[in-house]
Amino acid sequence: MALGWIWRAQSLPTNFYVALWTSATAPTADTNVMSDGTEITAGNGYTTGGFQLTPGATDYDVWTEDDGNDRALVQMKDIVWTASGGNIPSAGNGARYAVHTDDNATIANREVYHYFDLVSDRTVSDTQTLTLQNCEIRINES
Amino acid sequence: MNLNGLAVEVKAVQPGARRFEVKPAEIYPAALADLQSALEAHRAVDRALSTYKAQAVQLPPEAWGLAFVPRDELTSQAAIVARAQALELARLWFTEYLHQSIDGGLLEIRILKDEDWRL
Repeated sequence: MALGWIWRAQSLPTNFYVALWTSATAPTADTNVMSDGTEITAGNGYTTGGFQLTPGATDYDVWTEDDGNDRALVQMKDIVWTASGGNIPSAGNGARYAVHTDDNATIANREVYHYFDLVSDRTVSDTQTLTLQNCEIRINES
Repeated sequence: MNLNGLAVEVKAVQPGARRFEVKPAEIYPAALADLQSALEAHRAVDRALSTYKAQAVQLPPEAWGLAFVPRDELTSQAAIVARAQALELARLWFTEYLHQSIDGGLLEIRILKDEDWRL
């Protein structure tokens, strides 16, 4: 992914997404695509494929170079889903993981770049919000 | 949190960004102290910071003191983990305050090297 963008001048995705998975399959370093996990049921404010992010300063708004720990950190803007007309998820199990993907037109084939553990299954009641605050991508130099 | 003197603004890499260099020996003690103070005084903070306050409550009590001990001086894995948790929370606390100080604009932070504060 990044190898192609940086060293082979391949095009960046136009957008990225953050999707929500149930606890059916925990994402790991071996997770490759969306079909490796189980996305939550769409509806009531959650769209299949998840929340759209645009590459750039607005949606990835904090960069940290941590010389002491030889790493870089990129924070995303807050990702908010508001339940409307019922709960999120609209059916089935709650959201346990958030995954950061590309924008392949076939959602099942979207590459999973990063994942975040929400610690427990999350269900949001009608009119309430689920906010993922300052999700950080960590890139280690060694 | 009083950021006065903690972040030195330098030339940004990205157009439109504001870039700051910070020293671990300055930001970590200040952030840890402010976070502890916020907990003890039940200080009202906004939603973004309240998330970190909630996480801070979950820290093992010894983490606050361990955060000031250089990693190389610790031998217990549990101590190293607790120390890292406290320092990461302090970093996020400080970063959020700094981000709010520039009205949520594009922020670049460079944390300078200091072995005493390595995770």
